[in-house]
Amino acid sequence: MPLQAAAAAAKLLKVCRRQEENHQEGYCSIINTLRLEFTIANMYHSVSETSHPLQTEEQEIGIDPLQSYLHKPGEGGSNENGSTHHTSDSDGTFLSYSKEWEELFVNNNYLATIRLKGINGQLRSSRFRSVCWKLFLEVLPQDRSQWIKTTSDLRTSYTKIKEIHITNPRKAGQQDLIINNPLSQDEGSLWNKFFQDKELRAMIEQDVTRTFPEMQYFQQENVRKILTDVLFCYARENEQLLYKQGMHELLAPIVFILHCDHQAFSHASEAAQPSEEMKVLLNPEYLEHDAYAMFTCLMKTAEHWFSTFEHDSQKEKDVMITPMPFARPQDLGPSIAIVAKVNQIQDHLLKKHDIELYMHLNRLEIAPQIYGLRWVRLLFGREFPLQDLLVVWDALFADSITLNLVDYIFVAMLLYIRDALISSNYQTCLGLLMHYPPIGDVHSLILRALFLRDPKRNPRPVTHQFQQNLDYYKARGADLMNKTRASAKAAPLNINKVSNSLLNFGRKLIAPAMASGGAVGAPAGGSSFPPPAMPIRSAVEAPQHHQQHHQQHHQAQQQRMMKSESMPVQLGKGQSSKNISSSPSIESLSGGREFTGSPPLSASKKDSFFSTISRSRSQSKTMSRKESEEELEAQISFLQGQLNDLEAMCKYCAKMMNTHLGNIQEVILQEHLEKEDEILVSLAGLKQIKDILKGSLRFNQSQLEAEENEQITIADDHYCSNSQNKGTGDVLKGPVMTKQQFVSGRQTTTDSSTSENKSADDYIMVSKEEEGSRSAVPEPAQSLQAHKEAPVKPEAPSRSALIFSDPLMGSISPSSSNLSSSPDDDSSNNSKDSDFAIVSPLDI
Amino acid sequence: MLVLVLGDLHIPHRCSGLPVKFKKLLVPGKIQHILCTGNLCTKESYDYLRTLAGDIHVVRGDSESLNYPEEKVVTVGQFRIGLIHGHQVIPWGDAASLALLRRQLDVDILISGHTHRFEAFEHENKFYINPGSATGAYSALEMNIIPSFVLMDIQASTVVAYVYQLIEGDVKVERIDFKKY
Repeated sequence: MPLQAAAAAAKLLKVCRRQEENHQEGYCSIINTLRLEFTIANMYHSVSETSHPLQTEEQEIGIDPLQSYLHKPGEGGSNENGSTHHTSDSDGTFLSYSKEWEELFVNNNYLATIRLKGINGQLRSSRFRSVCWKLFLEVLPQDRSQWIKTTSDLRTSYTKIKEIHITNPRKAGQQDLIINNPLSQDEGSLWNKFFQDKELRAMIEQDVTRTFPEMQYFQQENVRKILTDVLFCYARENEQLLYKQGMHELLAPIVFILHCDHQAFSHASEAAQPSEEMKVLLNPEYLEHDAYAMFTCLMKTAEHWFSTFEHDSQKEKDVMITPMPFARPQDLGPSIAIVAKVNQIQDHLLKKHDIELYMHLNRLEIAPQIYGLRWVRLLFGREFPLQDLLVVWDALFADSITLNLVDYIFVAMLLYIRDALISSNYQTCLGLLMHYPPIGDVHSLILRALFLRDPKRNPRPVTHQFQQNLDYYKARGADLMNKTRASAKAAPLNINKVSNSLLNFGRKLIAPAMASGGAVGAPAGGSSFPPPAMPIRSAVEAPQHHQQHHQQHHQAQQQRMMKSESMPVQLGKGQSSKNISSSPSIESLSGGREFTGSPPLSASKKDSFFSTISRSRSQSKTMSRKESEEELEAQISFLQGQLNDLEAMCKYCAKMMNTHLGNIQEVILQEHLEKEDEILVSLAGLKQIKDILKGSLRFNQSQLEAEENEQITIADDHYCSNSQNKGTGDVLKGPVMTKQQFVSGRQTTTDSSTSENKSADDYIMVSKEEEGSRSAVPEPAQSLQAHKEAPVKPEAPSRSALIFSDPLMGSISPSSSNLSSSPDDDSSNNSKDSDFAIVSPLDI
Repeated sequence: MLVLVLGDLHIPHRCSGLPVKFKKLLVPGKIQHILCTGNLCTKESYDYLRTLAGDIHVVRGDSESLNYPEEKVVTVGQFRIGLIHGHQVIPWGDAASLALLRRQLDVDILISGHTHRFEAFEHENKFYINPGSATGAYSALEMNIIPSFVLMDIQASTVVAYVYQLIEGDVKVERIDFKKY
């Protein structure tokens, strides 16, 4: 019975939605497909239910309160609206149906209301979405009294257009046979036109058959015909543009929402007499006509993104001026509007909001048109599942007919995956960009975009970046597997790849010279760079999954702190850091790394990481433009000042954390609680965070992934173990120990003191030193100390493992298997780090 | 659906090639089928026709170098179409003799050639077409031949035949409708 099925599905959806809100990213795709199927299924149910009037009524009663709740303006977040609302897509009463109509359209300032709703994602389940879109796209005038007239005007005009363009030469009446015969090549011949049309139609049909292949709706022959006819008429009406691939993807969602609204209307109109306006606006017979009208209006904005028409002025310039010697490939090509647009987005907007990501993409030479053309042209149609896409479009259209929100959504999308991008290589980046990862809450993306555009008038989406990355990482392990495979496919498409490798080669050639120069001028620039405590964020995230609330609370606070620190710093540094990187002083990787001894800062992670990236870019930069040295100096010192501030702050945080953690631990140990062990484990996690704050612990992405997948957050407690075994010269132990030590850390975390931490610091230095010594750049005292320790390290693991594992194994055997991945992680850390050390002179 | 009907090219024996104006009209991509009444004489002519359409049916003429079937029946849409060169039908081009053959083949449209003179007529509710000679090659009986061919537009149960003739250097087009009952 469809009724029960619908109710069950609705419940399921609600549950899923809640999980989604808990950032269970993995569910998202499932939910989305569910949603889709459900909507469709619902549609068909409603059709079948028409023969059972009784059933319909039952359903209406059941659903009524829900709906009245839903339609109260401003009540509940958009998310909740979205989740529950689907049930009402087609089976509401006419009362609620007309009520929705009134709420949307019957008041003085209705346009502002629906715009707001659109931006807030509250049209997700509206049954008048098509009407809203018509208003947004200015298909309908603001004056409601004109609606009916405008609609019928548009419809008749489409009928005429169709008559003109979709012709049958056989019914052309008596024309001159010399002109009008099948073989005629006369311009005015209908037959000639017929054959030209046939080519165009074949082209359109080819694309139309591939539109949303996963949706049954678009497989129907009549729907395909509608799509083809509309696109064909549009192409004929716009001879300059004709039909371009991708237009069908813009039209399809429009047709779909019209269809959905028509279904809802025909269902609701069974219960009572709809108003004249509704009858006209939602007349299913005119789906094609309305779709055409909306599509043309949408294309008014979007058409220049499809045009491949080159600007004449640019052409002349190209002829006159030989290309710039160091111009990027994307700057050299002919200036097509869309290419200019995506370049502008990346070069200006992205640069402004996240220079680090911008530099990274530039370094990998991922030109924005590789992925951006599709994003913009299809208005992100391939990036989101249909139901989410519609929400994005709600906002896009509602915001303005000029669709200028597109640029910011573009940037917001990049920012959403920024961490993943930055820590990835070329292939993975391409994979991420070409197969955009599923987004839990599309609405947050929109909020983000709004904030990016106008930070003053739109609230900062508080949880946004952090939460999203958290979400993303969860799904990421599995995701990346697909991604890399996918990116392998995508890679050959890119011509830049070759030039990329060439450029890398060039860099290597240049590197040694730069490095040697760098050693001399190093101290100032180099010392300011703390070690890459890069994935702080992820380390913090990991323990969060444990269900211990008080700790979660702690961490959450910490995260917030860290975020608020790092954000402004990063923005502020945007400009100057570029300059820093181009100074030769930090040319060698070790320059930055070996200063681990000095307490590093958590907030500096981005900077240090950034330096590695920007450094490699700097070669080309320094070559292409000479910047004045004084300016550089000034900026460097400014940066250093900021870094020092941050350093101090982090130190303070670490210290305070240490004290408080110690207190907590003591109390807990005295209490002899039942689940003491778990609490202690979590405390150990907190200590790890403290150490990250302090800068003595570093880790990276792969570690994070492993942790998240296996749910063993504390696995990498290098220090806890160190602290326990401190007396025995455990500095030498090395990272391999962590497995077994995990338990010891758990039991004895209490006695962590500053001296222990010191030993941990030493250990870290050892591992870094490995890399540092390779690059063979003379460094101040701390690094020397590290140098001494380096050679001892390799033998350490086996030895220490034997010594310390026994007592621990007994107590922790169940979890030890989980932890087994940590040594691998460590090794991958190193290799991954060295990935970034592109400049290393020893590569040659 | 467009079906080109032509024949009696006699290239290179009696003519050097198709008239230029015909060649201009005949472009690839428009025609679906070609029915040829024979006397292509060389493989080159056949290859030329192949460039115009993918589906081509030829019957053997009296001065053919390649081996084609004597007669063919092709079904296009709702029509059965019989194809024969016509030198076997005596007297040549005689309506009654052709009707006899049509009944034998049991077709709706009978296409024959050999007389080098365009003809299209309805007889006992059946349709007879003689496309003439596309090159204007002389026949056994006549020297001055008007080059001509026929293009059939077949839609369900109707045929519209367009007759292309080269009269004094100009292409003239006529149109003949035929409906199947």
